[in-house]
Amino acid sequence: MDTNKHIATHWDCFLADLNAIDWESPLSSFHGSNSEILRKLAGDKPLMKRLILGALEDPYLWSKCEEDINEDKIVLWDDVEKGMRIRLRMSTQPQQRLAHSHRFTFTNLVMRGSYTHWHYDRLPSFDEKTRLDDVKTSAQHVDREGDTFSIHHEALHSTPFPENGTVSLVLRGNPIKERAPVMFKEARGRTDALADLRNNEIEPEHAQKGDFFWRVGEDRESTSRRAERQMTQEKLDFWVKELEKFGLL
Amino acid sequence: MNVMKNTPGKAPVCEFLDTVNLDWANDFEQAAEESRAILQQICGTPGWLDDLFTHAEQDAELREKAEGHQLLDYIVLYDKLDRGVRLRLHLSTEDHLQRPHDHRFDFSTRVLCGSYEHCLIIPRLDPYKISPEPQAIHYQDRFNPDPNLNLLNEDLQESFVRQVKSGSTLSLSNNVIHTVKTAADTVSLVLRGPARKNRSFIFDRGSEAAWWRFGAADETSARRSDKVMSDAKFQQSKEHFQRLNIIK
Repeated sequence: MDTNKHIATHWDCFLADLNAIDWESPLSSFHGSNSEILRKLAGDKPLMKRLILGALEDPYLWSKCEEDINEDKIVLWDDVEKGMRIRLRMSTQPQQRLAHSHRFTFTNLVMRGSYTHWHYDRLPSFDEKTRLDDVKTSAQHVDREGDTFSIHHEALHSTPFPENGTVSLVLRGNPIKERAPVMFKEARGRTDALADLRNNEIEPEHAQKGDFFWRVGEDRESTSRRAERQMTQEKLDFWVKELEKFGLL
Repeated sequence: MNVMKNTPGKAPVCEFLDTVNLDWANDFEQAAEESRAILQQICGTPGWLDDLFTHAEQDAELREKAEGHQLLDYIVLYDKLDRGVRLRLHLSTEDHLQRPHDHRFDFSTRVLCGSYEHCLIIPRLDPYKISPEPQAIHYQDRFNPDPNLNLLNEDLQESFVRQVKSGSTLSLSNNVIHTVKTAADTVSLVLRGPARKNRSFIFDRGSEAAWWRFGAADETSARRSDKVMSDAKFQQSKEHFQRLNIIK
């Protein structure tokens, strides 16, 4: 599959001219410049709309656009050589607090909404054997519209979006691990429902506090699982209208 | 429900703070949320900061707790650590250095003006295990760094960074190592709890030297006299806060 079609198509936009990001360097060395990239992109509404509509036209990007349990994602850009994937993240339901790390390091811009950002003590290991009470809150702050942050792939945190229509723009590096750990710090769904954990690499629709699963990349997911998560064109059209209504396009 | 009694001569903000009780040790999340709300209320109620500063200036016990450091100066505005409350007004100095450090206490902070780059740190080594407490007491400032701690910058890895601006709040537990790179004229209101440990750690990225900070009871007399804020410095700080419209 041609992974650079969108880069060739949008050769004239500033993203095509950016230098590669050294995600291994200290966060403070790229946080400022990454924040500028995200703010410049978010501030260019015609470009944002062009890239969102362009995702549908590019099979590579489109295959990464997802509808999940409580949020949808639209991938706008993915330059693997430069270590630069940019995607929109939009909440579709109030989200539970999940303590997790990521498969990649990234920078995030809050485009709409706000939420409490939780940080947890570093643990010697964080996996299915970790107990709920071992995951201790070490810091809290509030991310508001216009705020950016950068986070290392080893850091444990939670960013539960409390309301529908919370929107973030994310600039991330290439994944450097196959799967990332996630623990429910709040229950999801009926607390007496059994957690659907037959496959702990699939996010369950119901969970109790302390339930655990792994987030994996597309390459580890089955074809049927990818098909389940694939965004539809109807949903993309919905988001274009919704983002226009929010004043973001 | 907190009920405030009207004590003649007592400022409403002090009456309000007299009803606060924060259990940092047993419920950090609750204390963190409540303390951020308290900071918001203090900053949002006209006259409350002025009254607190006047009280701090006139109360001998509070006045002697004011301190000057290389990177910040602070005034203690209210002090009832038995109820989990010590309130401090911080002002950044002209020095802006990268010094990863933790604190002996849990706290929340609200930026009143200015800004800073805030980083959370993942330590690759545990300085508390490398340099046990009895010997660490000899190394309390940058002129007497701890020779047992041969740390490098890469041992203190940045795990999270954001820009903290006016109106932003943050709560941090005592075991988190962080850095605060302030812009000039940055003022924060800090609500801290009681000490949860005897010492805290600090590292200078420029020299890769590390040392320890202890509470007043364990500090050397040289260290104490170095930190205590003189009357002239207190007046300077007051005028600085006035210029920044923090107090009248």
